[in-house]
Amino acid sequence: MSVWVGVALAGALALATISSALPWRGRGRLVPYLMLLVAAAGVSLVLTASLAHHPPSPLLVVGRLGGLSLDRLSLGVLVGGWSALLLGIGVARRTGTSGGTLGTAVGIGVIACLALLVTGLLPLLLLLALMSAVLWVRWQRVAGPLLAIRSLGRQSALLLCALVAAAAVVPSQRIGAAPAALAGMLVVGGLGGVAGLIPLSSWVGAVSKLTSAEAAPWRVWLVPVAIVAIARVMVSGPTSLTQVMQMLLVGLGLATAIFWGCAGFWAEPSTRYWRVLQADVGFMCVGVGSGDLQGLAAALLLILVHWLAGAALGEPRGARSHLLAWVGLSGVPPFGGFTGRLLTVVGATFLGPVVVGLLLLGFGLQLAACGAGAREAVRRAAARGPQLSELAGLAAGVAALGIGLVGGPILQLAFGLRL
Amino acid sequence: MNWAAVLAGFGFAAGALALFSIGPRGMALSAAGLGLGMGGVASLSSGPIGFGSLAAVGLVAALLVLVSGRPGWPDPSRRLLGPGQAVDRPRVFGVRSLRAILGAAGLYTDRLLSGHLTAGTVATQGPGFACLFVVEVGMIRIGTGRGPAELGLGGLCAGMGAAGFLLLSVPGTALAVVLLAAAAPALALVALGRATPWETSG
Repeated sequence: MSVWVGVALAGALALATISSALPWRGRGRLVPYLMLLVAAAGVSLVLTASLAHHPPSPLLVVGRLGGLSLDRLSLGVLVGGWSALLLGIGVARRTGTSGGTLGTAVGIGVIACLALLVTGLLPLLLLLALMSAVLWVRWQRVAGPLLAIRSLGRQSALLLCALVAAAAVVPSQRIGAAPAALAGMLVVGGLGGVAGLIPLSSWVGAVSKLTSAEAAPWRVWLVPVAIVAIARVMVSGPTSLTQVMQMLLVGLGLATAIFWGCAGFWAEPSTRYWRVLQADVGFMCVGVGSGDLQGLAAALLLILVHWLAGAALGEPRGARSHLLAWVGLSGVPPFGGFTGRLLTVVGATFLGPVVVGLLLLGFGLQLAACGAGAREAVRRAAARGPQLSELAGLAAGVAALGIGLVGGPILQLAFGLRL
Repeated sequence: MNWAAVLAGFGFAAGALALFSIGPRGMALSAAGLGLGMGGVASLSSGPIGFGSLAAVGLVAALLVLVSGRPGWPDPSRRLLGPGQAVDRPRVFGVRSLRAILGAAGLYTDRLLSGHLTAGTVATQGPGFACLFVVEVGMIRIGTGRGPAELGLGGLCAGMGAAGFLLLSVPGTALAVVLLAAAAPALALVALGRATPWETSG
């Protein structure tokens, strides 16, 4: 813990000192390089310190999540999701959010409540599919039959197939090697499809055609509920199933983090946040798939950061709030994005150096994408003065920054997770 | 007579019908065929209750798809999705040829997989093989689908195949669970059965 505090303080001090010493005109251009420098130093320090305690092992380990309280976890996601929804409405209140948008978000929230409170696997999976289908119908009504929206419809129906078929295969209890692989593929395909894991993520392009408020249910509800559902299957499923899921989650999560990290770096400003979230879904899946408590903590921390930063970025005229949110997301120590992604790396160290290297590559891509976002926010902030309307967004941005400093207590308070 | 083989044959026939059917009438026929075919397969271990539950879901869905097109009846797809727009995109293969190729490949894969599945107390692997084939037909219909209605039909195929397999492998399965697996996609089919296709050629 002392290492974390030291790195946090050093990172914050370095960022503050170098930023304040720079001339105002050049700051926008140099922000990404500064972030890269500070993050690289923080990552090197923390990995050097933590790898001594986590010797890498060539074998996948399942069952490290044994002491997890699933009810507490679900309750935390439930309370956090509703809070994030209210925060998002508060930040975007001046954009004239329509009743249909609000109704969809609340309706999906109610289905998410049911999904988190039921105990059986089949109802949980069907409710997840229902959430995705409701989202598709709403987006189809708002944006019309665009290719990406059609892809979401296809995705909803495919994951319904996958989940229903998995539910048929899993409870038979007569599974040999091939059906375990089949069930693992179906469950990961279905649950990963809800969150937008490669190769079932083409529909994520649809969010760029929508307003932030319309796309919010995916960020606030679908991703967290899918991650909790994966954690639930990993904890309570048979070992043969969880081993297959672990391999798939780590492999597909890495692919998602790298592919969407690249996409985020080259994205248009209006779509950049969604690409960054998409790449972080890859990190979350690697974290949960690693089967390590630190990996799960990383996924939950990233969910918390996106609840806050996503709300701040939903303010259409925000500049300073956007800057805070981008820095919080970026991976610069000691803020939320850094702690979440680095905990993923630390939790996955036993998977070997290749996985760690690929995760660090994804980390760097996320940093570059967020740096580009921060640079645009700095330009906007220089062009316009402070605005009172940004206050709620600023509060969310500050919270996204600060959550990395108090990650352990927050995770214990919100999800009952003891690191 | 080997009833398991005969009923599995009906299951395959229902899957083939669902694979190639086109238009609202074809969808209604497919829903009825899936209900009867998968119900027959499920009845091998679950008896008349298994047959009755799946057949009822299929027949009711077929009836509702047929009547929803009549003037004066409510059209849920328009209410849900708004006025439809056509999106034209040419295909390399005709859609039925493509489905035939994918179906043949999937049939071979299902045959390999069904060798690893032990479906309850039924001696032959044929019924389990038929259920897998119907699930796989659902995947193909969704992957090659031209509109929302085909997503509904694909979902129904998967739900029926999974419900049939569930009843076949665990005879004591709660009926509510089976009905949930089969009836939720059937509801989607009814809601989307008259939705405008998005592609006009192919």
